[in-house]
Amino acid sequence: MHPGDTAIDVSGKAPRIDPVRMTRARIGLLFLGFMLVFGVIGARLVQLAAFPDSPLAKRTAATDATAASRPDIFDRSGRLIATDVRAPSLFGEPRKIIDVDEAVEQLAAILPDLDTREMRERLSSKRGFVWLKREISPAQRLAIHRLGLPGIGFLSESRRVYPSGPEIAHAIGYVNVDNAGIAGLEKWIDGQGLAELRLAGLTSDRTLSPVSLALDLGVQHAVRDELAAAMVRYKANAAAGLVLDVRTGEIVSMVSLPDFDPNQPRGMRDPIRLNRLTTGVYEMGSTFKALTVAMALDSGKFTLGSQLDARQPLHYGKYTINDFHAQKRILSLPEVFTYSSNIGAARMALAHGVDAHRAFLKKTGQLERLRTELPESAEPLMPKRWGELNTVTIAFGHGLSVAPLQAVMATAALINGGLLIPPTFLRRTEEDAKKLAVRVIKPETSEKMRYLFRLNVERGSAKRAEVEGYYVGGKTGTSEKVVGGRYMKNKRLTVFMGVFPADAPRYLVLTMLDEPQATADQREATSGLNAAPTSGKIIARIAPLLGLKPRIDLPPAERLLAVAQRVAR
Amino acid sequence: MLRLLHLIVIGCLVAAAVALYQVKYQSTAHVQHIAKLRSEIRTERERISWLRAEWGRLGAPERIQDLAQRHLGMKPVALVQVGEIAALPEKPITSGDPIGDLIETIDPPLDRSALDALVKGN
Repeated sequence: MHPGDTAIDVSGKAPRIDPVRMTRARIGLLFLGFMLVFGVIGARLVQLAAFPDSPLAKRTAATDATAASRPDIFDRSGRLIATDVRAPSLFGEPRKIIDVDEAVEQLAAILPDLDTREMRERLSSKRGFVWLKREISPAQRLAIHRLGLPGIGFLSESRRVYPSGPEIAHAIGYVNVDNAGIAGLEKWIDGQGLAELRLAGLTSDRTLSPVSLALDLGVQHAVRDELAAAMVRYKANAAAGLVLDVRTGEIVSMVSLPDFDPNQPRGMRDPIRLNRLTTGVYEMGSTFKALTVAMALDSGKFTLGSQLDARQPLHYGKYTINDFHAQKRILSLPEVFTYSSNIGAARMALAHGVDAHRAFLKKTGQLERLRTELPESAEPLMPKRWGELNTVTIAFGHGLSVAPLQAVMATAALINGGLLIPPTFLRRTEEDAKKLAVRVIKPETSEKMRYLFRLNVERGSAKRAEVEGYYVGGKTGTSEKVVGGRYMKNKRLTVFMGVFPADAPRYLVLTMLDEPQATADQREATSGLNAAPTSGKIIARIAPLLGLKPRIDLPPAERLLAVAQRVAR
Repeated sequence: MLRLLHLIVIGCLVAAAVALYQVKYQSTAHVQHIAKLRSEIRTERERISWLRAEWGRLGAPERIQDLAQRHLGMKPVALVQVGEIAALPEKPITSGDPIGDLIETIDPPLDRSALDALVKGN
């Protein structure tokens, strides 16, 4: 500061400014400035210390979040059915690759199943990023890493694995390479909001709770094993089996052979591999007589003592209804069931008329598409104009094609006390099932149906389904397949509905064989000769797995009826 | 006086700088440690899921059945092999001294009279 500056003044009057005070003020200003700057720095330090949310931490969290993208699936006893593992995938950055030919040659040596021409094309393109191969093994990853090729890298991706292989194929479905559900329960899981979660980037393994199924892996294996053996023994094209808990509607096992390995779902669209239990519709044959008989008993028009005339075949226009095991006499109602009399069943349905019969089938869910958690389902095939002839044939299981699962649901209602419970693949308690259930027949009618099912194993067409100690009841069904609008004598579908224990039913077993052949010691390929013994073998294997104890002194079928009558009074 | 104050303040400043440096250094080390642990956890998780899948594969009923058929020769339980607890016979009555009972059955106590007879005979 120049002293002269202050001396010059416009007014000429020199104001007296103390230089010491001036300096002090300037130092004070400087001090304030420094305080401010240090204050800001200090505040920032406190902020950094208090909220240590650096970009690095955020990035780690993001990679963590994509680690798993589908929930684990467990069976009813907690065994693993499906889980995610991390597998490396190979990608290339064409712009960074120096020598495409060399890279392709070296990679092809490690990945022999790679299409070299396609790979060369991809790597020669102008794109920034190309997938070379999804899901390679850790050993291949190491070998490629050692090549040290520029522009070739790995990304770790989730891959779905099913440790039990083809065991639960149809129920579980499968996923595509992007881990999105394509079929079965995997697709259902996507529909439960998983797809939306993934879009939002929220699919970390901690946010997805595992899915617990009603299926039992042990039971599933036993059913599949026995069906595969039956397919070989009876030279059948296909086989299917289902185990249903009649009290809750839980599907404990569902097998449709031939099946596929969900780990490698190739050739999956082949129609022979379709799930016959939900996606196929079939004429269920004589097993449908159980519905007819239940309707007859429930309406009160018939009793267990009713007599039905089966002396003559029934003529309808150009059609003649005949019995397979013709007795040519007057049959009692239980005999109609055990001899599986078409004439008897037809007479019962006719006594109720077309409308009542159709209403009963509608009530038991046979005329509408049955929907479960599985995305695949099939519409029943009904006659367009439902006349008396249709009622007559449907009474013994011809002329109406339903999904076997549908028929199982109705049959379960006949024996569980009369409650129609929609089947499910998920766990369900008995209380929840009761809330969903619809009463279709009276409990007393259900008691009588149990008696008839048991009687049929003791004396009727289902003798070969008997398993010592488990009190099996059942109904056989043999139908001829329709090919080109005509029933084929030698192409049959045999069905068996088994229930155990018949005095207090817990489980219903459906066994279905497609075009079985008679073995050397059999005259015919009927349900009683192939599907019934197969069911017997299945029940013998699964009953202990399901925690049922074999019992020694079991009452004859008539005792069930005595109990029923006591309850009715 | 002022000089002493300056010295103290400078000393404090240096000490604070050193302490700050150490805290900063430690915190960096901790951050790195956290990142390392995170990646280890991730690797462990991946390995756990691999092992669980492998365990599921090894315990698959199909494989167990195959092994059992080849090596064990077991058969399904027959009805006669199943019994009721109530059907079992009554438990034998014991004196409440099982070890003593056991010793007596193995080594019965000496018969006094026989011993006496032996002594008298001599």
